[in-house]
Amino acid sequence: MLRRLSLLTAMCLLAAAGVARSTTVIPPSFDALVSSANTIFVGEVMNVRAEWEATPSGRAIITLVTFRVEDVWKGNLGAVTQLEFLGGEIGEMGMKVEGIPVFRLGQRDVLFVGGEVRTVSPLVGFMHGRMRVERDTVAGVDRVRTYDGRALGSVAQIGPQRAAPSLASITPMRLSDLESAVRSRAGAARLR
Amino acid sequence: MIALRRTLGGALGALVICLTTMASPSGYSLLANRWPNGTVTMHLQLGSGSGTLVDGATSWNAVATNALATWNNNIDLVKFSAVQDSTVSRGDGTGTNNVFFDSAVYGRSFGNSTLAIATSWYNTATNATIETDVVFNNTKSWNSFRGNLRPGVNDFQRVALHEFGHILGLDHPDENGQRVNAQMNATIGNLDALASDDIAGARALYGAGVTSNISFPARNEPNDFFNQLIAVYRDELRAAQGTTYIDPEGTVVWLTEYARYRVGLCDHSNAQTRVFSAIDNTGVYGVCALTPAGSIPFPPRNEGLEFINALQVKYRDGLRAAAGSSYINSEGAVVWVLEYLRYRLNSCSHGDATTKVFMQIRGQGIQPVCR
Repeated sequence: MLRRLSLLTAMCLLAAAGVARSTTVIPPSFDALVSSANTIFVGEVMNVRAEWEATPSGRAIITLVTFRVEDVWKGNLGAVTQLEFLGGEIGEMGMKVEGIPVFRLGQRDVLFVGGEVRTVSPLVGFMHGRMRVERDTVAGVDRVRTYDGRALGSVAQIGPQRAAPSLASITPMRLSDLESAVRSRAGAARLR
Repeated sequence: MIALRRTLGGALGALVICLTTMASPSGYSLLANRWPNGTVTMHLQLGSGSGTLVDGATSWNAVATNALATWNNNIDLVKFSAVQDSTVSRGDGTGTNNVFFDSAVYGRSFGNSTLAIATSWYNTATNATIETDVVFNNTKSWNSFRGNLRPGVNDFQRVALHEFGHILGLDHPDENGQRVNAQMNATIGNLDALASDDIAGARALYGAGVTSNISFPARNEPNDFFNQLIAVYRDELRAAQGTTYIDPEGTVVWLTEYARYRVGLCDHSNAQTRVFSAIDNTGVYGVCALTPAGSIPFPPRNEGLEFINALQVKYRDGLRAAAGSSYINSEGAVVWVLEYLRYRLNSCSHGDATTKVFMQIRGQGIQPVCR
C-alpha cells in the first residue's frame, strides 16, 4: 500500500512536471543545473542598469545586473560580477522577455551561470538558474526559494518533477544545505 | 534527456487524476502590459516544410493561425489578424509582430533548455503593448497533436497558445499563488486547449462581447428588398447610374451588420471597427450591450452615410474592388436599408416592411411600425 502511495505521489509530482513555459523552458534537474553551470555563486544585487543595444535586425534593451559576490561554489569569480539579460526599461520604452528574472537592489540570490556568451538569459535553464535567498531571522539562517518564490524543500524538488504550488507550508531548505549539495555534486562531477 | 522523457512518459497515465486534485477555484494572473483595443497583426513566418502534422495541419502557420483564432473566439476588444507567409523583415523594436522559427533570438542564444521565447515592447507610462515577437527554437523537435504530451517531441499548438496568451497580457497563474487548470500555467501538461481560467483572464483584459438579443432578418430578405429598391430607383425614379465599389449584396450585408452593432449600443466608430474586422476576417465581435426593451434605437442618417462612405473606400483601396455602377446612390442605400431594418425589427414582416419603405419613397410619409 505504501509503495502504491509512493508511486502515486511520485506520479502526481511528475504530472505537475514537464516543460516550464514563459518563454517555454525545460526545467533542468539539479544535476544538470550544477554540471551545466560554469560558475555558481551567492550574490547580492548592487546595481541594475538598462541600456540600448543594436542588433542585426533592429534594436533591443539589455539589463546589466551587478552582483557583490558573497561566495563562489563553482568556478572562479572576483568580488564583483555582472550578468547581462535581454529586456529592460529605458524611459517610456520597455522590452519584456517573458520569464526573464527581474532583480532588485539588495536581493540575494544563488546564481547558476552557464558558459555561453550572448544568450537571452545567462542563467542555466533561463530562469531556473536563479534561487532566491531569504533570511530566517528566527532560526538565524539563510533559506532558499526558487526563482518564482516557492519554498525549496530539497534539491530533489528542482527540475521537471517540480511540484505545483502547494497550500501546505514547506520550510525552505537552508542555504548551507544547498551549498553542500552543490559542492558535493560539482566535486563528484570533477572526479569522473 | 532520455531519462527525462521516460520519466515524463511514465507520469502521463496519472496526470488526469492529479490535475483534478491539483486544480482549485481561483483566478488567472495578468501581466502589466496589454494591447490597446483593435486589431493586432501577427506576421506568421514559420516557413514551409512541416509536412502533414499529426493533427492533420499542413503547415506551422496553419497551426499558429488556429491558435490565434482560438484566442480571438474568446475575446472582444482586441482581435489577432494573421498574415500568412509574411515577408516583412524580422526584427525587434521594429513595430511589427513576427512569429518565426530560429536558432537564436535576434542574435542571442536560446540556451539549451528553451523551446520558445516571447518578447514584448510596451510603453512604460501607459503599459500599452507596442510590439511582440514569438521565436520558436528550430533546434528542437516539433509536431502538432492533441491529447497527452508525447516523449521526444514538443506540441507546437499548445506552446503557441501559451505564448500568444502572454502576448495578450496573461501571466502564469501557478507562479502567482493560483492552483488552477490552465494553459497559461508555467508548466506544460496534458491540457491541449484553453481552459476556463485562461479565457476568464483574457476576457478580463479584452471583454467577452455580448450576444445580441435582437433577431435580424435572414440575409435573403434584405437582399430581396434591395433588389426591389433597385427596380424602384431605375423604373419609377428614373435615377441615373452612379459609380460604386460595393456590390448590392455587400451593401446590404454590411449595412445590416453596422445596424446590428448600433442596435447593440455600439457607437458609430466602434460599430464600424467591428464591421471592418468581419470584412478583414480578423474576428466577429459581439455587440456592445443588450438592446433595452421598447423602441429599438437606430443610428442617425449622417452616421450611416459616414459608414457607407468608409465602406466604399475600404472596398476600393482595401479589397481592390473594381468600380461598378448602381441606380441607388450611397445615401439612398443607407436611408432605405436602415428604414427597412427598422420596420423589420419592430415586428413587420418582409412584405410589410418593403411596402412601408416604398410608401415612404412615394411620398406617403413615415409609416407606423407593426408592434
